[in-house]
Amino acid sequence: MAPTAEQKLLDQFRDGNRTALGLLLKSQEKRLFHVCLRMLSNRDDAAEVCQESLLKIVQKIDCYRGDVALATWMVRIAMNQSISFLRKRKPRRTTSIDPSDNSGQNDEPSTPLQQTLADQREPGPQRRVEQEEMLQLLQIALSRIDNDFRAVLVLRDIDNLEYRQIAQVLDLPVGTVKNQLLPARLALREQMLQLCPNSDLSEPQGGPHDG
Amino acid sequence: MAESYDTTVLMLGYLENDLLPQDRARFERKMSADPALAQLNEDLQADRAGLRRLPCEEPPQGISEQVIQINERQLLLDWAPLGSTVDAPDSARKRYQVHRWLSYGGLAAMLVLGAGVLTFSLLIPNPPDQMQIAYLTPDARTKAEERTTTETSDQLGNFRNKKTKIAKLQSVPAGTELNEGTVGGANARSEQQRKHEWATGRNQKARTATSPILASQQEAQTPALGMASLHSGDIITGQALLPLVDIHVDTTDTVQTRQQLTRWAISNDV
Repeated sequence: MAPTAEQKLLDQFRDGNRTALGLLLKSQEKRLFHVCLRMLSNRDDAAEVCQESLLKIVQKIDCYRGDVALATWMVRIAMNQSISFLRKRKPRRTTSIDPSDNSGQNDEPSTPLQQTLADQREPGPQRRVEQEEMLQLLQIALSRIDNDFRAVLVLRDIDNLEYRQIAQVLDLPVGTVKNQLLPARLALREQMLQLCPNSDLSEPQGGPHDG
Repeated sequence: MAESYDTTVLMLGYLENDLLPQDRARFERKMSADPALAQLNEDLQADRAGLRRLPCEEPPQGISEQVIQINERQLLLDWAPLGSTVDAPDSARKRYQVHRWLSYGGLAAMLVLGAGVLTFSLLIPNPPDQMQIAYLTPDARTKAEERTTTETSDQLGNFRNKKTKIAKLQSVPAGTELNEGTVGGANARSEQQRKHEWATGRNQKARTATSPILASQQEAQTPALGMASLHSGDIITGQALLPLVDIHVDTTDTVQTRQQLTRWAISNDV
């Protein structure tokens, strides 16, 4: 099996090239931040946890033995850091879907996702606007389900990992991962129905099995 | 039950697109027969597609550089050779931790020792001579013991000289002016008589010392002695003894003599 780019950078770092470590972190920071953001649903928290994860990767990189892919190992650290952060953050934040609703627990003017979508929003077909709003709802619903379910969904549907890789990241048997996927999807659907009973995320064209 | 489990497995496989063709056809037949199942499958697929379409946001600028800086700062502060000891990091870290604990232990020992000395000096501000000698080194201890022995011998010698002098003076009749010849004349007295007279004089000394008035009365009875110059260890009467004090009596006035003796008694806490 040919070594991946991350593995090459790690080898260079172990050979004494200290700049390779920076390149290795740079190559993975976006992916790790994405995982953290989907797990935490808050950009500031995600940035903090992502930084902690990268620091932990640097500190523990000598413990990496190559039993799993380096990228998977790094995602595992980011996922564990995110779950630890969620467990420490006792009062769970909820995100209002109504921008004018400031009476809830969330005092932020808008979520990062809402801000991103608002920036990307252009005058266009109404269908596109509705889908963007549905994506906001989906992110909110994702933040409301159980941490274990969310981790499985993030790794499977957002990070596009295989069952085996998910099992390595979460340190679970592959069968357990498969058994958790459908309940996780059903939990997400339940939250979507609570947020918007008539939610419809189906695309006008194209099938779901694109990956 | 078995049918429900079968439906669950088929639905998961259908969503993940990893069913065999015959299983896929079987599940599609089920969905066509059950509109609710078909709707649920459609919603789950939509959710999955929505998750994949979530925007991938950029991380904060320079997050990796910050991590590298933090790591280097920790290296400088902790001297933990992190990046450069990939091959042998555990031994270096353990050695670093051992050195750190050794320095902490040494510091703690110094603090305990200082606190002990301070406590001892506060509790026992003036230790006895024997205890002081016990603190010294062997050489210094020997010297201190010799010095103590010498001092004790000197004090004993002075005491004997005074004892002899007193014995001589006791033989002088009252009213005789004191001089070296008078004192020297007493050398002829026998040692046994001296001891007896010394014992008598010591009793008298004790009585006189505890009662300066008695001493002054005796002084008044021996006016000739009032003319004498008395020095340390001398007596002012034939049998009254004043110990190691400097007292100068140069008057025959009994009132003044009494006052001087009273001051001496007070100053010597007699």
